[in-house]
This record gives sequence, structure tokens and C-alpha cells, in this order.
Amino acid sequence: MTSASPIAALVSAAAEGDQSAWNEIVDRYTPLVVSVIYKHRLRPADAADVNQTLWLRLVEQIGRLREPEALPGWIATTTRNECLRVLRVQQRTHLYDPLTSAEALEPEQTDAEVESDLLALERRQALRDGFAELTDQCKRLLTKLMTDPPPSYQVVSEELAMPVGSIGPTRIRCLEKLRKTPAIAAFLGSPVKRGGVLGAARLGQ
Amino acid sequence: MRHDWDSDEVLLDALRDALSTPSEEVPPEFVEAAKAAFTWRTVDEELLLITSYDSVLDDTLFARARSTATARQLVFDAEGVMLQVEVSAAGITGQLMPPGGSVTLVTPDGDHETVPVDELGTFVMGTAPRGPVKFRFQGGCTDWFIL
Repeated sequence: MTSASPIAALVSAAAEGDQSAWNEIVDRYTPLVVSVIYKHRLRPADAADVNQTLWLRLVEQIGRLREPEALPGWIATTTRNECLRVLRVQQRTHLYDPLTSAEALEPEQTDAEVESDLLALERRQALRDGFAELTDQCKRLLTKLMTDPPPSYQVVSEELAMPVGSIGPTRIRCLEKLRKTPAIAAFLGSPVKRGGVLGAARLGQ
Repeated sequence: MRHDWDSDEVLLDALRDALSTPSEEVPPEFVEAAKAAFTWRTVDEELLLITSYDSVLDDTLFARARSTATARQLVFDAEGVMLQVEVSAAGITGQLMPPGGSVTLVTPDGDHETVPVDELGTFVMGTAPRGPVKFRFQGGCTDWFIL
């Protein structure tokens, strides 16, 4: 397994007991888990609990995921649900800091904001995953074209030893490949995922 | 929000943003805990009961009960098997349907407490530990959750 292994391959290897595939999933997605947790501003001990719960849940569900490509979405949604649970338990039992309680008591206020942050995290994750699945040639060309300010085709041609005339067509082809990677396709085509986080929580998703 | 990724320019911009935004710094103990979680993988034919109700996530209840610390109720079920628990500061009471055997509260470090189930399926446990837990019984278990 390399860092370019598609999610589906990692998921099925992990489901069959491959610890190294599991470790790769962890390395790839803990930043996503951590970003979601930080957005909810949990206490450090709670943050660690949510992280551990997320991974324990994934272990028990990994063989049951119907769409392995949708894993980043599953991770973001499940982590968020656990954060909300923890916050609500705290509010009920009054263990929260009264100074921040006014804010904590109005979770719906920030719902839209958190939702759009989560979407941004998932979007970046999908693009990183998709990019990792491209060929080296595409990665080199796109990386070069993304530098700021954008280099002229003449410069790109010299640095990558590509004919100037093939840069435009290759760029189109590489971006088309990126759109068709499972990671991007799953991100763009996830219709049910955003149907209300708490609703999903009740269904245990 | 719609992603206008049919446009090469927009897609390339989005990619630039994704690759140039640093990933969140991850505390090493988070990674350790995540990797260790894999030891809980079971090749099981075991029944997994999924949380189907959690009073903490019940909005109607939540609005009313905000100021009173009542017991938290959870229901887990799958394929006709149901485990219902009530958790309070005094401890855990529950009912397993159909009744039988014993119920064990499990933490990531191992078994925490095992108690017998009576003929009605009810059981009583001490207070819950902090952190993720799950219930195990003969032939199945619940998913992990935080009490």
C-alpha cells in the first residue's frame, strides 16, 4: 500500500485485517477528525474520547460500509455527531464552564457555519485524495501550473521537458482524470449525506 | 453550495487551495489511540446493535430537560434484539430483549463489569467509567458510545 492507494482498497484491506492499511487510513484521516473536533471546542479529555470513539466505531463498521469512497463523509458526520452528544451531555449535567455556556446552549446558531466548515474540510480531503491517485506526470504538471504567479507555458515546457503544444491538452486530460477519481466522484455525488446530522445520528449512521 | 468543477479554472483553484492548506496538527496520542483501535476488529458473525435512540439527541426532550439532570436513555437494536439502558449518576439499569445470560460493560481497556440478566431481561450495574464504552452480551454487542 502506498499513499496513493485508493480509499476503497485501503478499506477492504483493513476490513480483512491488514493493520498497515488501517494505519494508513488513520494517518490520512486523523487530521480530518481533529479539525472537526476542534471546531466544536471540546475539553481536551472529551476531544480524546471522541477521537477514540470514532475509530472504534469505524473498526466495527469497516466491513459494513456500503460505499468505501464515502468514508471521509462518514468520518466527518460521525465525528460531528459524537461532538454534539458530548456537548449536550455536558449541558445537561452542568459540567460545562458557565462562562461559555451561553454559546454552548445555542448550538443551532453555529450549525450552518459548522456545516459549511465541514464541507470545506471534506472538499479539501477529496481533492487531496483525488490528486494522490493521479499519475506522476499529471501531479508534476498540475503542481507546476498551480504555482503563484502562474508560470508561462514556455517555462513549464523547459522545466518539465514537455513540448509547449502538449501542455494545454495534458492539463485538460489531467483535470478530467481528477474529476473521475473515485474520491472526487464520491464527494460530488454524495446526495444523502447532508440530510441533517442529528437525523443521521438517530439512525446510528 | 454547488461545486462548479466542470470549469478547469475553478477545479485548479480548488486543488491549489486543498494542497496549500496545511492539515490540522494531530496530537500523537490521537494517532496512537486510533491505530490501537484496530485490535477491536472482530471477524464476527456477531450481531451489532446500533444506537437507535439517545435522549441526549432528542430535541423535544432536550428543550424541556435542559435544566434538570434526568437519567439518559439509550436504545440499541438490530434484528429483533434490543438493549435499553438508563444511565444516571447512581449507575446503569437496563433491559435486554429477549432476556438471557449476562451483560458486560466493555471499555477499550477490557471488561469493566459483568452482571446477570434476570428472567425479564433487566440488569443493574454500577456507575459508568468515562470514555468510550459498549455493551456485550451473548451473541452480540452494541456500538461504541460515550456516556
